[in-house]
Amino acid sequence: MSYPSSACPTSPCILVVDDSRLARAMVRKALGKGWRIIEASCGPEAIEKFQAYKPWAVVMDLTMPGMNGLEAITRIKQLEPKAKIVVVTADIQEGSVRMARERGALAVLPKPLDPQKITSLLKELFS
Amino acid sequence: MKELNPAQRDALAEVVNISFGRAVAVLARILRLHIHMSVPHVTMMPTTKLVDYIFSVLTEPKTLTLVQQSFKGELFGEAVMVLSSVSGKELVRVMSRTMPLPSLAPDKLEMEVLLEVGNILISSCLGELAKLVGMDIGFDAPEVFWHNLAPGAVRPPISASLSEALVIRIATSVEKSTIEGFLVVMLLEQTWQKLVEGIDELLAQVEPAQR
Repeated sequence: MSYPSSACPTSPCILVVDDSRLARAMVRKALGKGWRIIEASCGPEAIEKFQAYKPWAVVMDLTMPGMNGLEAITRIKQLEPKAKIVVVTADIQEGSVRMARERGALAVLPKPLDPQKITSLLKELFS
Repeated sequence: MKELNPAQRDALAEVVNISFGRAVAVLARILRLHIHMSVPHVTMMPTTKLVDYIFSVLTEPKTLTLVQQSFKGELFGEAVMVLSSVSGKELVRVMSRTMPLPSLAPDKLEMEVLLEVGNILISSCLGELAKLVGMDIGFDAPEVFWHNLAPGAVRPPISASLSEALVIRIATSVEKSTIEGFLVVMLLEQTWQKLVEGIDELLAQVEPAQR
């Protein structure tokens, strides 16, 4: 299967990874219609769904129990170096932002999520 | 104990996660250090069970220092940062490497440092939490509420009107030091109700069906 998946060409698939259901709902609401949203609540589930759906982009939290977001980014990048990953996190320390970028995140957005920032960022990446 | 439904519990944990993240970022900038941030563990309990719970959960030698700060406005109550004395001393040691600290006796210096850290952590965390649920709060000056509290010692007096406590367990590391403690938010009954309403409004904005 090619990356990203061409299974749903008119609505790009976004994998949203966060242990909080509220946080995932916030991303879903911010993105609005026009995207096919797949959700994962932990790092291992994110990797499983990344392999299954080959999403066009991943929106990833950093602070999660068990496998944290940094580890999940590393694993996804090992599976697919071209994976587009955007981090949305409450951990907004400079060091954490730098580490996420070093692992391959294209951008790091702070929580609470600014809906305009994420939509314009994803549209920019998509175009 | 106040019962929350699963969606409310999840939302409260996320609001605390965001608020605590903001407080950690402020603290890290001041200390010029990176603080490893783990998922804050959030529980609710009656204030009468608070001290026993804290002593039962801590892994380090169990003597505690409590820094208290009152908040008022649309939310009203007391916030307390609880740190084990081992963590308090570690914090002073780490801070002494990154910033000039006053020349004081070790015990006095530890209290000064904990007052300042408590002030930053409590005001940043609760300020952000209130903002997220659409409320305004102000703070009084912090004070050391209890120093070297040991198990079995006389317990700190907690006003009977502060019936419920939101307990945030902090287990983090700064450089190679483990810092273990709690941020406790004790609320008046009507304030607790307001917080739950704020959480419900947040849920309704995002996903009405979750309620």
